[in-house]
Amino acid sequence: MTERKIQVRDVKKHFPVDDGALSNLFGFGEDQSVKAVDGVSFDIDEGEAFGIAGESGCGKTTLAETILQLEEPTDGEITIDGRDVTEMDKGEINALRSDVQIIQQDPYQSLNPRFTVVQWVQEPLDIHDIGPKDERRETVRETLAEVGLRPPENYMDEYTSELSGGERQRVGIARAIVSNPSFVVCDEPVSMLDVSIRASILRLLDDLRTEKGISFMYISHDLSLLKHVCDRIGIMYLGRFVETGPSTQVINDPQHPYTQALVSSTPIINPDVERDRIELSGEVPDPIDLPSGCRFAPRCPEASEECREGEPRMYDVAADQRSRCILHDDQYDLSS
Amino acid sequence: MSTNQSTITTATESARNSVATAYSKSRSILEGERLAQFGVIVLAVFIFAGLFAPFIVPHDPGKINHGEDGDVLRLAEPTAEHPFGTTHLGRDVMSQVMMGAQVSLIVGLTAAAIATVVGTSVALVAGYYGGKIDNILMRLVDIAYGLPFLPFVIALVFIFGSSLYNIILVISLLMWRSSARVIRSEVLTQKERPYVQSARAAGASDFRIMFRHILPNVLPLVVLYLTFGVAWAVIYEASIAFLGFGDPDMYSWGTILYEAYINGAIRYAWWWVIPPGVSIMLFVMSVFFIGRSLEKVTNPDLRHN
Amino acid sequence: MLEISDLEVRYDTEHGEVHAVNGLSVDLAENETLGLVGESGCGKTTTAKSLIRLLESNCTIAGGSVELDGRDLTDLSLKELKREVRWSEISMIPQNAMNGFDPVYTVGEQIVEVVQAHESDTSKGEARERARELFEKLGIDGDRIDDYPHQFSGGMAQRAMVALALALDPKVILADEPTTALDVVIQDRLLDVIQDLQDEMDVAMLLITHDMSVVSERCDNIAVMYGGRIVEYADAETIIKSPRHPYTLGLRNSFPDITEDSQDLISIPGAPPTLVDPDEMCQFAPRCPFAEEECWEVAPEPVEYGDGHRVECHRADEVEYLRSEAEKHETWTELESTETDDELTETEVKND
Repeated sequence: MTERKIQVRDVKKHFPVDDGALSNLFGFGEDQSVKAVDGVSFDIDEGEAFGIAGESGCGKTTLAETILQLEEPTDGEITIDGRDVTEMDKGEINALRSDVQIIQQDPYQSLNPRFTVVQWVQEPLDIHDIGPKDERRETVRETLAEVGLRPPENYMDEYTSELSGGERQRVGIARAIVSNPSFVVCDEPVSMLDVSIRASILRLLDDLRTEKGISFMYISHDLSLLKHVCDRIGIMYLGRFVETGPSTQVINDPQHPYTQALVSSTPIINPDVERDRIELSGEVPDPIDLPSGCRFAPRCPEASEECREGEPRMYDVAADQRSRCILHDDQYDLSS
Repeated sequence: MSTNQSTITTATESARNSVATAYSKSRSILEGERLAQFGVIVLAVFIFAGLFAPFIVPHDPGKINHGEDGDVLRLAEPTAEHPFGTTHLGRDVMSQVMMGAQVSLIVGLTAAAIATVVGTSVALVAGYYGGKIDNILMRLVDIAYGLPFLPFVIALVFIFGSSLYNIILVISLLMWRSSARVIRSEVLTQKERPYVQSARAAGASDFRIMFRHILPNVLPLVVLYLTFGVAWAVIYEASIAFLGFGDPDMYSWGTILYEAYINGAIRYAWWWVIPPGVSIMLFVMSVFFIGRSLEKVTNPDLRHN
Repeated sequence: MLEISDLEVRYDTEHGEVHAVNGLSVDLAENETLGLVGESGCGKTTTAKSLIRLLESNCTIAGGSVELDGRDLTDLSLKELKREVRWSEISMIPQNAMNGFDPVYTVGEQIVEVVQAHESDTSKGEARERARELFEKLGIDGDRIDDYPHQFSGGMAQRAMVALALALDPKVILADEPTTALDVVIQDRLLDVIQDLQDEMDVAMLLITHDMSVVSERCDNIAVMYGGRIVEYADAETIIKSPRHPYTLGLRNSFPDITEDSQDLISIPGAPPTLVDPDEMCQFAPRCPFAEEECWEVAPEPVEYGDGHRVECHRADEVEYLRSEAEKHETWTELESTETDDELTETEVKND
């Protein structure tokens, strides 16, 4: 069996709820926590793009931060290249950071406005002392050319605040890849950009994946985007995956009622295709008071009594496609 | 070690850059700002006087001057020889006031610098780390806010003696609190910006994030507090000196007023009182005018009004 | 019903005069939904805001007319417009409802206030009753009119904003990216309720968005905006299926289609024009792979291609060629490389 690049096993991240000074003082209230990520497992192969989809508040960003060790997981195992990250000490984690990088959502906020392009892109090299000092500028120059900022000389000594959104996102990508990482997390990499330039950024990321063999994890609420860039995809709801599988298959033939609802809510540009509308009732519940049983049951159009009794496991529904719904259980009588 | 050093050099570099941008910005804002231009001119005169006072004073400020008849020139009204008149001991007021500019500059700049450096460092550490550290540091700020000005000054000067350095120290101890509190809140908002997460994801140390990433972004505010700090320090120094706790070996504007006051001259020897008084006012006013304009750099909302 | 002709809106900035809206003409019929699509900075929001003059102080309407049922709104004073048009005839749903409501009053109070400001003979009770009815129609519990804005979720707040926009039974609603900040499920339901109410109350809507799939599904007609002008206008199906303008073709190329399994997404190279003292030319020419000499010298006039399909492009006649070329990746990337070459030679020349 080939070695997986990233293995995530039953990762949890719970945040304690601060219910105000008064109750802290008098010890009111139980120890509650927001279960932002509550048992997530998946693998990413070398050079693979894995997508995580879900509505805001489903925990996808917290999951990314946990995998990047920006948040310490409450429980679970995260293995990168066969080494368990959760067991590492601070120094080891810091050393790992040149290998695991992030591309952030907002190109207007994620670059330090007091840095020039070269300072910003070069920083990972400075931090991890990669390459001789006098060659770092040259490395930055090459990386800028690689991400399509040509000629790089025109950009290097600009302040990031003087660039357009697309250019800034390219600078962000340059910073992420300058230290030659093998794994990059992209948190909504194009959602703040104009539609007309998104494609070129996505193509750049895809080229980096195929040419450098970088593994990618994409986080987005946009299913059509994830379908376009990812090999496999996981649909997240209230801190857990409800469905995983090859992205084309999951989106063309969703098995979990939540995935079906998500896909059916996504507008279709092609006027010849009529979508089947599945209406979901209510909104995403509070991740403090999780519903007992299936987390999606309160909103699920197909929910029955059984759904509220216990949380269903993941069922294999097709090749490499798994769905967390009791409807897939052979024992379950559909007619009842 | 080497990384730390490079952090520091890059930190100064970026600080220089941000000062440069702040400078060019403030220059363009100063254009069309009459009051600030006035402030710059007045301040330049004081700085000139302060720097070169020992060489350009018309008389030794401590010398007892004698009139043509050989008598001591006590409380002489202004003349061409003594444009601001003389004191009860026949000393030249104008020379004393010029020497006083030096004291004001030293006290203003050093006290403001110490207070701002301490306040900014406390703000960065408290705001960035948050939690217990923040709590402890902010309670210290609260205590500093609780210090009553007069008793505090009198007690400290009584204990340590009234030298210029002690006065600077006392003023710094009173002033770091305000910059600490305000800059901390700015650090808190900067800390949540995505670029800080980007720095953490790149493996930057806490030190690097605080001084290389956050500091340049709060620097405009720091400069603003530094400026206002100069003005407040000068006011504090004048008050301390006027109360009689000034450095007896130095001529400061406050000391001059104090002497005029205890000798009862404040009622009739206007030439002894008005020059130091107006100097304090002009100095503080010019610094505030400049500060107001700088404030527009940090707070764009003010620019439209 | 609403006729905008030759509208010009300008911003006075330190860099010069920005021609944000530069001779825009479009009509809106009763109960019609018109989609206004384009990139950020193309003037979509400015257009909408200029209709009810929610403009910033450095921004003026420099020309053209906006006629609502034959009355030119640009002739009205701001005071008249506020009293007789804003909210009562034309209302607006902003992108973020949380910014549209005042946090210290309940949502109900704010709706009542707007109603009473325009209809002095409506009692507070009647106005409250109307707000409650609208809430129920929008799928919110009527009792929630006494909640403060922060007690609403994003989707609910946006619905409450719709209630406010409809409270005075206007003829037109301007919806500026009303669902961009929302999740797909909530977005879809909100657009559903807006559409239902729109039919019920017979309101026309100007839907401003960058999302081609939303306009494709929800709009009767689509106006594609670029550089302060409408470069192509037609019914939704024509714009999506058989566009003629190279910019529309480019937008189509760059927009992912969830029903496609392997789609080749292509970006439009370059960046939108700044519109600071623009030259007389086709504003899209610098990014257009089909630009010819004429495009750089003469601004194209709108040409009709039957059934209201209007295109502003010198080469719109060569539609078959444009479409077949626009599908190819090289068409758009080659432009990118030649563009940088041009810049290089230019700087070299300057250095000499």
